[in-house]
Amino acid sequence: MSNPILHLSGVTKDYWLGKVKVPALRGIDLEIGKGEFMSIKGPSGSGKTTLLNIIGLIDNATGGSVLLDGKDVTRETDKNMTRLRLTKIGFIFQTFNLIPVFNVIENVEFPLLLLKDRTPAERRRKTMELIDAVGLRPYVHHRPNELSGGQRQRVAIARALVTDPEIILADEPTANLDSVTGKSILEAMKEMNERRQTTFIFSTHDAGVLQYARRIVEIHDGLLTSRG
Amino acid sequence: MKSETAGGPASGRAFLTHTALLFKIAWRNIWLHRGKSLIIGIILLTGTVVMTVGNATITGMDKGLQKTLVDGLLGDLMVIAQSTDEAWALLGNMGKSADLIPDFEKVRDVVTNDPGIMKFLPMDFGMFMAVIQADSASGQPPFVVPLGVQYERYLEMFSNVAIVKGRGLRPGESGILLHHTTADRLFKTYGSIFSPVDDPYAFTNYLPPEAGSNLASVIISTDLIIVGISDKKATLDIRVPIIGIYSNQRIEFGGQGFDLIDIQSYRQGMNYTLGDEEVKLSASENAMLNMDENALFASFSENVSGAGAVLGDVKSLMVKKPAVKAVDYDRGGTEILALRLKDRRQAEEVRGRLTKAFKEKNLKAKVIDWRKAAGTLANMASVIRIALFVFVGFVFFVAGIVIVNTLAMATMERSSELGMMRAVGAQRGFLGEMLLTETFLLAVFFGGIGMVVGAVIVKILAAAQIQSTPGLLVLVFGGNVFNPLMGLKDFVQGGILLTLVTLLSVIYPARLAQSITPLDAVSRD
Repeated sequence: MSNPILHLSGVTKDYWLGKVKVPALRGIDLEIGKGEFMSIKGPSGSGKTTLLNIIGLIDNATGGSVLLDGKDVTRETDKNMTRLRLTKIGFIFQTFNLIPVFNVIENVEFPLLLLKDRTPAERRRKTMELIDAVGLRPYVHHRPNELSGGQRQRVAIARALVTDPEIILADEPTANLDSVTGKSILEAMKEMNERRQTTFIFSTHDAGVLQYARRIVEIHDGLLTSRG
Repeated sequence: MKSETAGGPASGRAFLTHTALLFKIAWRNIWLHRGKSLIIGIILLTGTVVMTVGNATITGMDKGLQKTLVDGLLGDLMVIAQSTDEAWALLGNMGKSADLIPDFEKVRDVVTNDPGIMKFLPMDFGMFMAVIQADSASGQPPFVVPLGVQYERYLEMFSNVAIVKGRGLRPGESGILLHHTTADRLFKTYGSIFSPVDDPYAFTNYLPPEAGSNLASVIISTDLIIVGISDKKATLDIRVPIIGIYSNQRIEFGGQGFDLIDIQSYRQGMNYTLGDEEVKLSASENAMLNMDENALFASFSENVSGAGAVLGDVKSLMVKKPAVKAVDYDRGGTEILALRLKDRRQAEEVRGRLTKAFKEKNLKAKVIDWRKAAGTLANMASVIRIALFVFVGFVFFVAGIVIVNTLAMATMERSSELGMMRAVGAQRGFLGEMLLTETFLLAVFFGGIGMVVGAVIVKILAAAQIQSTPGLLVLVFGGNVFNPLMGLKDFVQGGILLTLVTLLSVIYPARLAQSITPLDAVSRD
C-alpha cells in the first residue's frame, strides 16, 4: 500500500491483573490507506477495542510503533496526542457520549471551539453544513435527552467530522441502535466516506454491519488473523 | 488554516470564545446538577454570612476600642521619655511610672510648633500609698493609682468623667477625685469612708448598706494623705482634699479605675519640679520687697505726713487683686504628654515628624501610638479577631471538605462525559478550568448573597441598639451600644477568603478531572 495514513508495526498491549500479565494485543502489523471504509471484526475480548484505542491515540501501546501520516506517534506527549486527536481523528462512541448540557448545534460545534482558530461565522457554517448532512436540521436546539438513539449517533457523526479529520474511529457504532437505525447510521457514515474521502475504521461483531465494510480485518486473541 | 489548537496560544478573540465556552458549560452544569449546586451554595453562603457578621463585629470592636482609648484617655499619640522601659504602657501596667521627660519645655515647644497637633496635655501617672490608720484585715497595702492632670484641660481632651458625688476640681484647685471603685475598695479593706469635702455624707449613696448602718464605728475622711512610690527618688507625703467621687464613662473594666488628681499635687507627692511661674514684680514692687522693715514703715509714716511716690505705689497695690502664684502646668515634671491631632489619619506622619525633630534637637523623648500606650488592652481586638478567624476558618474548612467531596463525586459521575471531551481534543487543563469556573460561579453567586445577607444582619444588629452592661463591653464597644461596622476592607477580605476557599476546594476535584483519560469515555461503554 502506497502512502498509508496509518502504519502499525509489531504493536503489543499488555494489561496487568495484579501480578498477572494479560496480553491484549500480541504484535499487530497493519497498514490502513486514506479513504478506506474498514471494519475490525472479532469476538468479545479479542482486542478490537484495544486496537481501536491505540489507533485513535487514546491508549498507549506497550510495544511496537504507530505511524500516523508517516510520523511515529507512539511516544508523543499527552498534549501532542490530544492535539492530534483534535485535528486528525474523529470518534464515534457506542453510547454516543454527547455533552448533556449542550444542544445539537453546540455538541457538533464543540471541537471547533477547542480549535480556537475559527471565526464564529465559520464555525456556524461548518456546523450547520454537517447537521444538514446527517439530517438533523429540525432538531438543532434539542438536547441529547430529547433525541432518539439514532439521532444522537448522527450528532456524534457530525461532531466527529466537524474538524475535517483524516480518520474516524467508531467503536461498535450501532450496538445500541435497532437494526433500521443502525443501517441508516452506517449509510450515513458510508456517504461521508465517499463524499469526503475520510477514512472510517469501525469495530463490530455484527454481520449486518460488516457487509458495509469494504475491508474487514479479523482479530482473535490479540492477533490479526485476516488483514482483508 | 488550523494554526491554533486547544493548548495553543490564544488571541483575544480566542480567549473570549474559550471563556464564554467555560462559563456556558459551568452555568448549565450548575443548573443541571442544581441539587448538588445548592448544597455547595448553602455551605458557601453560611460561611460567608458568619465571616461577614464576625468581621463587622470585630471591626466595630476595634474601632470602638480605638475610640474609647484615644478619645477617653490616651490621645492619638503620646510622648514619653526615651529612657522609659519598652514594656511600659499606661494601661495594662497599672501603677508603673514612666520616667520624667527630660528637657520637657523643649519637648513641649517641638510639639506646640507641629502643624498636625490640635492640643496636648501633660500627665503624670503612678502609684501612691494612702496613709490610713485603720487596720487592714486583708494585709493589702492601701494603694491609690492617680492620674495627675490639669483637670479642666483633661475634660476638654477626654470628656469621660461622670461625677457620682461631690464635684469636679475647680481651676487651680488642689484635690483628688476618687474613682468609685477606689472609694469602695478603701472602705471594704480598711473600713475608712472617704467622702467629698463638700458633701461628707454622700457615701451612703454609693457604698454598701453596711457602711451607712453603722456610722458610729466608721471613720469618715474628707481628705487623704498619700505618699508617692518611686524607686528613683525620695517622695513626699501630701494631704489632698477629696473633691468628688467619679466614674469613668469610657474606661471601666475589671472593677478597676484610676483616680484623678491635680497635677501639681501629684508632682509634689512624687517630689517633681512644680512648674510654678516666677512672679514678675515691677521695679517699685521689687524695691519695696528689698526694703528692710524699718525703712518700709518709715516710708509709710513719711507718706502719711507728706505725699510721696511710695505711698502712691502702695495704694495702687491695694486696689489690685491679691497676688496669686501663677502656675504653668506645662513646665513641671511630666511623664507623659498626650497629643490630640487635627487629623487622626495623619498619626504616623506626625509621629515621624516629632521623632525627627526630637532627634535633631537631641531631646530624649519618644512618640508612641495609642496601641502601644494601651498595652495588652489594645491587643484585645486582635485576639478576638484571631479567634474569629479560627472559627471562620473551621467553618470554611468543614465547608471545604464538603465541597471537595461533592465536587469529587460529581466529577466521577461525569467521567464518561469528561473522557469524551478529552477524546475529542480537550486538553487536561480545560477540564480543570471547567470545574474551577463552576465553583467560581457558585462562590460568586452564593458568596455574594452571603455577603449581602451578612450586611443586612450587621445593619439590623446596629439598628437594634443592643445595650452593653458597664465594664468590659463598654470599653470594647466604644460606647454603651453594640455597633458592628462593615467597611470596604471587610468586603475585600471576605472576597479574598472566599476565593481562597474556592481555589483550595477545587484543587482535588480538578486534579481528579485532569486524571480522567479518553479511555474513561470508552471503558464506560
